[in-house]
Amino acid sequence: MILTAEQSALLEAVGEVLLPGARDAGIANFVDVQLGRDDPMLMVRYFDWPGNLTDFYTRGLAALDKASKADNGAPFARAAPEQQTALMRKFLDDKVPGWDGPPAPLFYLAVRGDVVDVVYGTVEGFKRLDIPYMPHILPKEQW
Amino acid sequence: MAAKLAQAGKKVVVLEAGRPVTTNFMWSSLIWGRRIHSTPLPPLTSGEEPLSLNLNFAWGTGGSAAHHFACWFRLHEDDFTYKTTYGVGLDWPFTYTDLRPYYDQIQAEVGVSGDDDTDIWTPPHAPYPDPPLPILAQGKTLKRGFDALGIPTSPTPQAILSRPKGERAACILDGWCAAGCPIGALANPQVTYLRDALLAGATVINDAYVTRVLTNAAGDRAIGVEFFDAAGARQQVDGKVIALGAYAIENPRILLNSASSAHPHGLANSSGLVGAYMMTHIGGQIFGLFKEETKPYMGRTGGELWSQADYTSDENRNGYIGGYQWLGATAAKPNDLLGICMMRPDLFGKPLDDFLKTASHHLVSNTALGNDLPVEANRVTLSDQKDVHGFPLAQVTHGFGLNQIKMREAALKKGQEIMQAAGAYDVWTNPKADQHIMGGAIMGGDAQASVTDGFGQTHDVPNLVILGSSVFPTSAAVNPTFTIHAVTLRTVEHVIADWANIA
Repeated sequence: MILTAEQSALLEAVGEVLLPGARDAGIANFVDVQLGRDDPMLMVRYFDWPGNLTDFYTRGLAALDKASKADNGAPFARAAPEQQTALMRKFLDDKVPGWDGPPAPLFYLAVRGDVVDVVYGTVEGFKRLDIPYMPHILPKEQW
Repeated sequence: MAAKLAQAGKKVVVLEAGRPVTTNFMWSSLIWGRRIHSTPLPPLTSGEEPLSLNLNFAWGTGGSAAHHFACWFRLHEDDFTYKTTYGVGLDWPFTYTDLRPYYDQIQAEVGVSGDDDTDIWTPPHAPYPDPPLPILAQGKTLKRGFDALGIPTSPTPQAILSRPKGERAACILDGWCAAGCPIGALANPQVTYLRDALLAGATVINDAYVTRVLTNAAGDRAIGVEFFDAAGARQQVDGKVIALGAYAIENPRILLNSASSAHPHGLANSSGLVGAYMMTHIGGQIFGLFKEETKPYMGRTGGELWSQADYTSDENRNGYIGGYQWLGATAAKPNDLLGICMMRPDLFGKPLDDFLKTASHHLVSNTALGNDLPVEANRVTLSDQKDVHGFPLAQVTHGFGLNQIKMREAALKKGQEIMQAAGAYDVWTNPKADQHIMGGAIMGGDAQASVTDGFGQTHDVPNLVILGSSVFPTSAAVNPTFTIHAVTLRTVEHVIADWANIA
């Protein structure tokens, strides 16, 4: 395990805000498994991020919780849904007050990419979208 | 290069920094497909319009061609004479007429599908060896818009087989190109020249991370390369001809890191231009949602429909110096960087879920891909940060000029008109979709103004040859892989013919 229980719970809460179904689809497991690989298959690898990927996630999650406490007076997981949504809207424009994690738009896009991976980027996800998977080589595992 | 040298009886060793990649490694998943993309040692990217690096990179056998989308176009005649014709940019040290036979030979050997009847833009060429791939629902929908505005289109010329060729199967249009094509329909190196090289006796050493090209004491001959193996041990392999094909960013990095007393500013850098003139293709994407079922998950990742109606760089016509082409109806799956989810990065929560459910069935995309001008200040330098072996990483700086910005704006405007004319009920754009990397060790006739001659031989060290898009003096407005193949074939034929003098 790379992420702590608290970090996993927070990642699930963020994932649910980004795309409903992320928790049940296994967002925390996905990110944790990938961070434990020599070659993590996370979308963040496309973003030219020069640093350590575990730091990217843990620092981002810590900064998110800190921003939520400053903005909403509560950790992100315990903030009201409309507060969570309002905070999330500030990420892409890099307007998160007091943010001290990796670049906020990058963190948003990376985690958003992760939740789409787990909810819709698999054989089961394609079924949920009612589109054919049509594999040449079916992956041995979903991730 | 390796295939032709090995077939000519030369002993060839290919050093590959990454792992072995065979077609069995190309699983149909855009999660697992990331294994053939990017690098664990990303260069540092900066500037007003930083280059997007890791989408273009690869770290395994076959390099980035293992995951390329096989949109194979030729440069136009004026791309080779850009400076002479338009007064900006650079000229190549040869013309289209010089390169044409190599394009023709490559397309015959590899297999390129296209439509000679509707392709009205490609300069004189041998007929496409394979019939065009079909236009599917997404392409038909988009074509309505082009047709309504009187803009001609053609099926996209692609190094993707429309009928079987030897052991390679024909494309079944399932849209998995970005994850790698394991059936051999798409011309990745695993089924073309890398395969030929291995059959001819070439050796590929994986996990061989090249750090420097080594020379004799006088510095006028390359004698080998230094690399670090999977265990981290320093190794050296010697050779009579050294061909550097480590991609557009790493080629100049290795040359700069190969500085010695004979070459204090980097190997082959007497001009001071190693690393200079880095270019990309400026891109812009236009999307539309339609009531009809467009099945965007089908097709080819590189698209179905193509037009070069706006390719000309004539400033009097455009109001800017630059041209672009349309790559329409690209296949897209729900996830990943080029997936449907990234076409509306602003959405999250239920709106994202609703969008994915709709767009997965009703989306049409169209991409403008335009040229970049070679600017000396856009360049690779060595960073203060170092890799695990103590060698400086590459630092890449890049920005576009006003011409390119104007061109992108014009393309986005026209693209929206096309999408609306096609009948979309919702149209939007993504203004930044830059792709491909070129330059950094450009070829030219003047040793003071270029790094290599017209055959890729460095001016300073003639038995050191530079391969790939590094040598491009202009980017043109077309995907580079076909031209990389043609220029490399021209290079290797020259090296073989003049082996006694070069080796």
